[in-house]
Parts: sequence; C-alpha cells; structure tokens
Amino acid sequence: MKILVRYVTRRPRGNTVNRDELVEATELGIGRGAGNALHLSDIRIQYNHAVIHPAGPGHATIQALGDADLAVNGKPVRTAEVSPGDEIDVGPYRLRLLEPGEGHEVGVSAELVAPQSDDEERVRACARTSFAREMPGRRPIAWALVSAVLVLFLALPLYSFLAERPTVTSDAGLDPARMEAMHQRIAFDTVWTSGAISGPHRFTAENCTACHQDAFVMVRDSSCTACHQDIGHHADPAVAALVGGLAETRCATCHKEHEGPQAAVQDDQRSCTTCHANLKAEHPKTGLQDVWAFDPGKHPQFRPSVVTDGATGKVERLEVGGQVPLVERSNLVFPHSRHLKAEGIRGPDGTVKMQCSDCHTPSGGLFQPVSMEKNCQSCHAIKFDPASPARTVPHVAAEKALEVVRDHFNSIVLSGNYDDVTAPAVVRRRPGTEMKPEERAQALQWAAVKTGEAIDRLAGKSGCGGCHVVTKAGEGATATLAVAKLHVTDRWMPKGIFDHPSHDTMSCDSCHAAKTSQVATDVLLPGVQTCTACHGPQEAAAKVPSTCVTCHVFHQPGLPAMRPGPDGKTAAHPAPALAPTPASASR
Amino acid sequence: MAVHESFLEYRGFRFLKAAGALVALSILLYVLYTPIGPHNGGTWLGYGLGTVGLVLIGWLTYLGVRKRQYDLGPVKLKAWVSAHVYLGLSLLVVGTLHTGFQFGWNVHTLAYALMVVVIASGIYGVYAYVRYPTLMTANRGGQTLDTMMRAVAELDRQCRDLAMGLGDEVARVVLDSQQNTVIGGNAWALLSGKVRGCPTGRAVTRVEELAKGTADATADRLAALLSLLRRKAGLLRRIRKDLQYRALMEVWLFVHVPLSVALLAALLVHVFAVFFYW
Repeated sequence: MKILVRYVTRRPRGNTVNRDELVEATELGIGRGAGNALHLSDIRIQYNHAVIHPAGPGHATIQALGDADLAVNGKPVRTAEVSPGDEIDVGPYRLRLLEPGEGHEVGVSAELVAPQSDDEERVRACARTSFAREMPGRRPIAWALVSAVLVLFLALPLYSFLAERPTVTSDAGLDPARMEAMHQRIAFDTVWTSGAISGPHRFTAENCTACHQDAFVMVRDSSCTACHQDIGHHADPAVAALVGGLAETRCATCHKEHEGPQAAVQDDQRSCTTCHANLKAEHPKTGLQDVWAFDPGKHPQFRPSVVTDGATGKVERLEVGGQVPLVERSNLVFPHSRHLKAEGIRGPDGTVKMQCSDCHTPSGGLFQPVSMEKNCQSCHAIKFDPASPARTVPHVAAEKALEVVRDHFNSIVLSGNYDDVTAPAVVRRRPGTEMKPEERAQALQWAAVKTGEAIDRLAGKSGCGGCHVVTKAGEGATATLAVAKLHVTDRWMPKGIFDHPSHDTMSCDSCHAAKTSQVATDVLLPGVQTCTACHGPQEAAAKVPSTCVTCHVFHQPGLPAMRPGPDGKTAAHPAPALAPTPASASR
Repeated sequence: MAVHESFLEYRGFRFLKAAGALVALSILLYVLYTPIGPHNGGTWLGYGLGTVGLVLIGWLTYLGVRKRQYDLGPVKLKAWVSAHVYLGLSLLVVGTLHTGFQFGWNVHTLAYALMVVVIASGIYGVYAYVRYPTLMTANRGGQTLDTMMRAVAELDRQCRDLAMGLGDEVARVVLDSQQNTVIGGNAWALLSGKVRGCPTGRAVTRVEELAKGTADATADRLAALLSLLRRKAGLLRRIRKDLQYRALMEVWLFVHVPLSVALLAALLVHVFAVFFYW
C-alpha cells in the first residue's frame, strides 16, 4: 500500500511548507528512531512511539506503543480509528489523516506544533534567584512589629491606666478583700514596671495607679501615707519646715521601689549624710553635730542623756570623755564593783559569785528594769529588829515602812513574851498577863526607844541608806525618813538603737566597765571608739559595715506623723507651727 | 589613604577609636559611680547613659538611611558605614550599663533585647560583607550568574541532541533533568543552597548505571552524555552556592532593618513609660 507522509513546517509568517514522501508499506511506524517511516526528530517522542495501520482508503487505526502518549481529538487513547479531519496528538506533533489522492490510499501529515522553547529563556524563566523576592518585604515586617509594640506596650497599658483610676486614695487603710481584688485584675500597664515590687507591697504590683496616680508626676507622698498614716516625722515639724533639704525630700528618695523583693528601705549612709554631714554650716542653731560615716573622727562622740541634778531630775546630754564629767545624779547608791568581785560576795546561803545576768534580764534588744523585789531583796532584806531577824519592812514608801516598824514594837508591848533579856520584865511577861498602868508606861517607853533605834538602822547603810539617799528628820520614835526620788535612766541614748542579743559573742565588760565601777554615778557606757573598733562605715571591708540606720531610725517614734499637704508632699508639712495644716489639726 | 582600605579600617580606625573611647568612659564612670541603691537606669549615670544610648540609636538609624544613598560617593559612604558599625557596637556596652543589669518581663527589657538582636544581626552583616564576597568570587571562577545559566542552557541542548539517538530511558532522564531541574527557589532553598532529589543528579546516577552495562558504540555516546550531565551538575552546584552567598548577605537585613524600626518604637514607649509612671 502506498502511504503519503507529509512533513509540514510552519514559517514565522504563518504559511506552511510541505515535504512529501511516498512510502510503500502495510503499516506506518512513528518515532524518533531512524527506522520509522514517519520519523519525528524530537526527544519528547519515543524511539518507537506509535504505529498506523491503514484500513482502506482514507481510514486507518493508530496504536500507541509502550507507554507513549497519544491523543485523538484531545482525548488520550491507546488505540483509535481515525479518518481525515481527526487531530492526532503525538508528543509535540499534531498528525492529520489526509484524504486519499493520486498515488496513495492513505496519507498522514505531521506538524511540530509545540517546538522546544529556547533553552536559555527556559532556564531563566524557571530560576528563582532573588532572595528579597522570596521574602516578605522588610517594610511590612517593620510595620507589623511597630504595630505590635505600640498596641501591646503603649495602647493597652494606657487603657489600663485610664480605666483603673487610683484605688488607694482614702486613708481608710486596706482590707484583705480589696487587696485580693487589686491583685486579681488584668493590668496591661504592668509591662511598664521597671522591676520587681518589694515583698510588702507586692499585693499592689498589679495596680500601678495605687502609687502612680497621675501621669508624668513623680509618686506623691500622699500615695504612701494613704496606708502608712502614722509614720513618725523625722524632726519636729516646725523645724522640719525650715530645713530645706528635709522639706524637699520625698518618701521615694529613701524608699526606692521596683528594686526587687527586699523591703524598699534605703540604708545607704549617703541618704542621711547628704544633710547631716554639713548640718552645722547650713543651720548654725542646730544642736545636732555633723556626721559623715561611722568611723573615728567622722561620727561624733556619744552624748548620753544623763540626770545631772538629782533633786530636779534635770536631764542633759554630756559627752563621753568630755570636759564636763559624765556623772549621773540618779540618787541611787550602788557599787557595781563590790557585787562583781571575782572572789564572790557573802550571800544568805554562803559565797555567791554574781554575774551581770543575775540582775540584768534581756528584754528585746535591751533589759528589763532592775527591781528590789526581783533582784535585790533575796540578799538585801530590810531587817530592823535584831531580836526578830525574820521581820523585814516591805520596799514601800518610807512613812509606810516606818508604820510597820512602829506596829511591830507596839504589838510586842501588847503581847509580851519578847525573847530579849535586856528588855524590861513587862515586855518579857507571860502572854495574856495584864499590865499595870506603870508597867504599860515602862513598856511603851521601851517600844519608843526600840523604834528609834530601828529607824536609825533603816536610815543607815544596812537599811534604806544602803541604796538610797536618805534624810532623817526628828529623833526617836517620831523621827521620819525622806528617801530621795530615784532617776534611774532607762536609755541613755534614746536616739540610738543597740541590739544586745546580736552582740552576745562579746562579754559585757568588753563595753561596760562595771567591775571597776565603785559608785552609781558612773555612766557605764563605752565611747564611740569602742564601737568603731569593730564597726566601720558601709564601705568598710575589714570591719562590720554599718550605716546610719544600723543604729538610728529616720521616722522618730515620739514625733507627730508625717502627713502630706494638699500638694501631696509630706516633709514640707505641717508648715510653720503657728499655722497648723488641716491635716495636722485633724489629728 | 590606602587603596584597599575597607570600611573597618577607615582613616586608621578613626571610628573604632571613638567607639572605644566611649566604651572606656562608660565603663569607668560605671565603676567609679556608686549610686544610692543598686545600679539602674534611674540614677544620674543611668539617665546619662540612657540619653547617650538614645541619641546613638537615633543617629545610627539615620546613618542606616544615609548610607544607602549611594550618591554620597565612595569615601563618604565608607565613613558612614564605618561610624555605623563601630558606634553600633559601642551601644552594646552603653545600653547594657544603662540597664544596670536589671532585666525583667517588661517594655524596658524588650527595648534592650531588640537592641541586642539588631546589633547581633549587624555583627553578622559585617561578617557577611567581609567574608562572602571573597568566597563568591572564588566560587564563580571568573563567571557570572548570567553566563553560568547560559552554560546550563547550552548543556541542556547538547544533552538533548546526544540523547536523541539513545534509548527511551536515557531520553526520559535527560528530559527530566532539562525540565524539572530547579535553580534557586524559596527563601529556605536559597539560604540552604541545597535541592533535594535534583533531577540532574538523578540523571547522572541513572546514566552512570546504564553506561556500565553497555559495551557497543552506544557506550561512547553514553559516556559523552554523562560528561555533559556531570558538567551541568557541577555548574548547578556553583550556581546554588552563589545564590546561597547572596541570600546569606541579604538575610540579616530582614532582621536588622525591621527590628531597628521596632526598636525605635519600643524605645519611645520605654522613655514614655519611664516618665509616665515616674
């Protein structure tokens, strides 16, 4: 059978050029291989791609070989009958069956309809080489980040501030329910915190406006005193108003918040020495002395408050080792040295070696007051009648004590049976025996003499005079005793804090020269040099670092409370003493 | 001025010295100054260092904009870059001392963290600019990306011509290598410089296998094809390495620039918050 094979080439302008070949065969092989009658030279065509079996004039069957692709009129097929007009797609080629003509019964045309693209263009087209093009734009990323920052860290916190106005404004204090409520709220403005809130204030940590009540205004003292209502002033308010530095000092100057869980108390010595290092020059009238640090020469010598006049109880501050002898007129007669003799002293039950702690019982950082009943009486019972050694007078006012003495001897007169051979017979009479009038007079006379002797004894060292300054008036049984009022100082240095228990590794006499103190007028206080032997300023490396607040307090307990004025400032108020502020007047 | 003076060596390390002096002064002040309470941004030194840091950040960001204006000329540009790098590095010390080493979950530490990331990405940027151009030149071997791609296209054509007379399987792998080989790709592909299951690699392997079992005239043609495919694979490796270097030189800017802008925003909020809740 004669088969016409026509290769169609389409020119750029659209017109076609045909190249015809006449083949004598029973079937027509299609493929890239040279042995095929319809030779399609394209790598996309298989070596033996398909075969056409002519089935009569103008008819044929086409069959795909192997896994070669074949489509007739756009439909993928493996085998199909085709006739002129059908479009047969073989790879990139389009085949058509031609009408039978002269010299051939079957004709097939082939046209390359999908030529290979330009290699360079193809390589370039499928390459994705620009990193910037593969990434989201830098500008959108920047805008997204800026928006996130502004919303999360500016807009939402501002909303929290505006929505939650101050809740700690009244001076009603805090109740647990409100503290809990303050803690529970969601506060966006906590992202503005500059650090952890101190432990005692942590419950307000979610509530910034508890302290930061107004925008762009430093925390006012009134925020502090809303809760800390009774915190003592540092100085007499009338004086404080005159001291520039103090008047301008805010609570937060010393109480720095957001510095971690420890209490917000500033213990740096410079907080104090800013004013106190140069106080005399700034305020010549002040009675306070300048201080720079706790170091010899930088801290004034101790000036204990001692009683300088036993009659009036007048108290003056005298310097340890100063020109004025440090003597306390307490009206007490007491030799420490005799009690602390190393070999011991005679006690009711034999020799006793006394310790400081026998009389000085610790109480907090200080000691309980020494009392006759607790600390002296066991040795120093006030006896007045050698014949009745068990009888003592109580440690009461002198006139009451003398009543006890008079009653004692009068009752002996009444009862008789007194066991003393020197006493008249009437006093030694059998109990229940009646006295004759002259015997009564004799007995009363004896009682008066004995009472007088007892009063003399009480006035002397073995009686009240052993510890007290005693003045006797009159003679005999009607004599009276006046005991001078005692002015035993509880704290010689009331503006200092000394914690005895934390010094319990030291012996008492390393600071207090009690063993050699023979009189009670001695003030058994060490000088500052005794302290600075071990303690140094806060920067000390070879000593115990000690700042001002180690021994002193800023808020003086005995002074009026610090209350802020209308402008929220504390220290400047109350202003001059002549015109009390409403805050101080209301207290 | 030396001919090959880099931005790092600009004018005898002028800006390195300036930044070093700033760092030394900051550290000295930090050591000498003992604030009442712990070191923090709210002391006088803290405010001082914060102000210096703020001005520096503002200026450095402005420099970042300025140095991209290439009409400044090469010398001026070099000066800007040099200042940007060294003063940016000094900011790490100034900013850290400003914090007083106090960090927390807040906007202040956010600003600090952004600053650190921006500086770290900048350090990487300097490394990239110093290191990769040399590697790129060595990798290209005198060619450009354009000529390398043209060479790949030419190899594709030659492979195709050779494969025409070979079997269907050879034709298939050559066609696969031509049509499915990817150059570049998404950001990760560019950064990693690697393509999993590259069709050209597959083609090399398969043709190697086929060549082993062939002894006739086809063997020579297969060997020739293999040589072409190997050249193509080598070219692709170099192209991908080249693209990787380019991506590595660009990627830090996607951190550095947007985070710089975010840092400016966080910094404004930081200053605002400090004085809002004074």
